[in-house]
Amino acid sequence: MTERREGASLAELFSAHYLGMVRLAGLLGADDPEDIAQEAFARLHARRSLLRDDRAALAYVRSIICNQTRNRLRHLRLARLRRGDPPPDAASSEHHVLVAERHRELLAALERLPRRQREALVLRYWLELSEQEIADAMGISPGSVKTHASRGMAALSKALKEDHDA
Amino acid sequence: MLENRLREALDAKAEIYEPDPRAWNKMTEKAARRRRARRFWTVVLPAVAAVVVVGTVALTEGLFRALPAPAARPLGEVVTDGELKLWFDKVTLSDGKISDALCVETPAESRCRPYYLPKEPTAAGRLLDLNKNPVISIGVAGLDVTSLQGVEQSTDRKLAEGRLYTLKGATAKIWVMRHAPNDGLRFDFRGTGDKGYSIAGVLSRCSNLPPEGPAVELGHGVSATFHKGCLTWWIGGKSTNGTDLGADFDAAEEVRREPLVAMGYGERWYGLVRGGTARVEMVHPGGKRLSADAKPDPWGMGIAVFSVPADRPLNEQDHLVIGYDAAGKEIWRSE
Repeated sequence: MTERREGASLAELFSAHYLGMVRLAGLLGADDPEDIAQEAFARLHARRSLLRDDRAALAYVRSIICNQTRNRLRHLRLARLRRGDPPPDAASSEHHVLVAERHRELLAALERLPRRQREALVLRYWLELSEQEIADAMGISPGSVKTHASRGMAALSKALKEDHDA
Repeated sequence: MLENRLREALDAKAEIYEPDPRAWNKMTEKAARRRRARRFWTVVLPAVAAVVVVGTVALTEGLFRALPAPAARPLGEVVTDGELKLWFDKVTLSDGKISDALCVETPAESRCRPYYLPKEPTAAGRLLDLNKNPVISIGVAGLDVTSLQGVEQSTDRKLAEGRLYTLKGATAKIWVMRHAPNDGLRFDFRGTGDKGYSIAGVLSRCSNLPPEGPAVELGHGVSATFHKGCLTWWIGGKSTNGTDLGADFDAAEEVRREPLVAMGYGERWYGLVRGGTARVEMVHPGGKRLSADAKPDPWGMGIAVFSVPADRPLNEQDHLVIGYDAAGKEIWRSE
């Protein structure tokens, strides 16, 4: 009985939040956001005790998304060093078409940020998470979240100014 | 206001991602695989430990991390191609993660290469070359790949045919191609539905070039040479195959974005860091600090090289790494 209730709860969470998690992974720069989101929910499936608390479950999934994306990006960086590997996944042409022109410059600057800064900004300005929630997702202290976010915003501001000055 | 612009831009970009209608099924399949894998490792690992006879360490090629030689009795199906035996396995990377790996045994040695195959139609990767002439190129390909040819880049003339092996239960194919050394060779993979994938043969340029040029000594048994665009690491007196810093990897751009591109080999870490770095310091989670001098820009390319002795495997996530300039001022940190 408990198993059925938990299964339903996972399905509900999945239904409500899967797309958001795919988008989070994508915004963090994942090469395969769907795969990462599915992996995160699969891990949640193995940690069914978390399903008793939706907030804890979502926090767990978010932290997996951050970790997995970070690992995948690092893997890609290492993979690119290896001879013979296929080139890293590039954003599709569809991607360029679909993202409005006025956002491209800012998104390009965001993609150039160090990954921790990018994570902090995405979690803060897209998911509107609190510092504590961001800290939980990134596995760092709230103080470090502040640092990464403020450095990230400063770097974005500088990059946009430089682009305009150029 | 920048914050609002950022919110709008993130919202706009997020909209481009749409879920796969089969996502729930795929997720539950993954969950089932995880359960099976946990059971597998629980049951099999003690058995593997019992049959490992010799644990030699194969020096990795390129900038691979070194991995122990595989167990004497491979798990799963093994295919034979001439003098080669090949199989898939799981290996533990130096950061503790489990990775898919392709293992190769020759009469002289055995080695395993971790790989990550992109989930794209007709994806393929080349993992290593054996021999100088003929070169034996070995790699993995998606299950939908049906043929492989070595083609002269400039003329599209077919020079060699590859063999593909499908192993029972495997999620990828193994491929092997014997070919004459040729910088202009291209590997053309064809899949079902006329999908294709090519790997430029230029990637073999550095592997076929004998390591030359003055060595930059980094201490701890590590040095690096850079010659004709090829970066080669020397570890404990043995050379790794070179990496083409021009074609494969824009190192200067990479370290500009992220200051640290670190490798690990046994009790040494080495790698590339942002140009101008004169000292690299690793701070372990427990607070222990290890540092070593770096060569700030030995080849005038905006990249520095370093080697630091380490007492645990490389794991970027666990360590704070700090770079200092020649004046001792912190110029970057990688957390």
